[in-house]
Amino acid sequence: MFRCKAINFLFSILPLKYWQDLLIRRHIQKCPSCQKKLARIDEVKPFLIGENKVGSLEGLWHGIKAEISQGKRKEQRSLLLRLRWAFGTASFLIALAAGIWFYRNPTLVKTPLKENLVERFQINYVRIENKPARAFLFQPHDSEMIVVWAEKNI
Amino acid sequence: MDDKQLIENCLDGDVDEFRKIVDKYRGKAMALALNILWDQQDAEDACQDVFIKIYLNLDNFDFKKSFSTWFYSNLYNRCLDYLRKRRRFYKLFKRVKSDHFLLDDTKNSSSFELQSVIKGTLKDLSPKERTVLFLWVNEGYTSEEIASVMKCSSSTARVHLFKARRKIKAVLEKENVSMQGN
Repeated sequence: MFRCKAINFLFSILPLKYWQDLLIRRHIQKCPSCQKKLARIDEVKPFLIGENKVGSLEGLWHGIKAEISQGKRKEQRSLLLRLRWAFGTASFLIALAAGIWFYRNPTLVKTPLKENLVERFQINYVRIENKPARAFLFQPHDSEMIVVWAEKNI
Repeated sequence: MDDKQLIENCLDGDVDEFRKIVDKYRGKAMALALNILWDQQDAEDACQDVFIKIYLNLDNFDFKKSFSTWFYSNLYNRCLDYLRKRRRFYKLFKRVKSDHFLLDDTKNSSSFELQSVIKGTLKDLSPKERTVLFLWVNEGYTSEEIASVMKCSSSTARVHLFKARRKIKAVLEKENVSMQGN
């Protein structure tokens, strides 16, 4: 009896459930005196709400079915919505990436005029005072201006 | 037909096949939810939520494990969510403790004969202890099975069960003494 009291005292002061469980397994489960202080299944049963006390639950299934079928429709709709969002986001990201790339490489957008000068301008001949003249094309650096210079052929 | 067969049929078939699972578990589910929440409306909502969640996650069910344990585990967590929500609500309005709300609410509900229970012990038990008792008494679960439902160690489950049984016994003895005194 003294041992049971000591165990109960220990149980109340031990902070960890593992140690409390140790006492239960080592002593309380085996001790008839301690077992008497625990309610049996038949004693606990009246204290709980049993399956027989829950009443009719016919409406539960209708609610579940409605939610499930609604959920399926929602799922289909949300799939379409998600696809639209994915497409929109992807387009935006591609445009953004392209914008950044072009911004960082402006030379690729503006092809140097010097290199394309011959392709863009072609002067077969220039005449001054009814005589063929010498022609020169100039383009100032970083400018789109093109200067055509002609001088008499001496 | 066992649970796993029902789930396989459900995965192959239509929604109506799921009704068999609902019919099989709705009573037990409602009883557990009521034991934890003590509120008819919340218990029904929790049960409905869990059945829907179960249906949507049937693909993830591990056939090596017990369906009832998985189901009760989901339901237990959902009920705890409802309790937390209720506590937040009451904290917000600085009212009385949620337990008082529960007791007042059950007084109004005519579908349960809870008066004797209210007067007795269950108000002294925590939701965890009530869950442990329910699973032990109604389902015959061992402490290991209870632990897997509550996602705790078997030691913790055993301690909860021990404390709950001791509290009930104490109340019963007290009532006996008072009845003998009268």
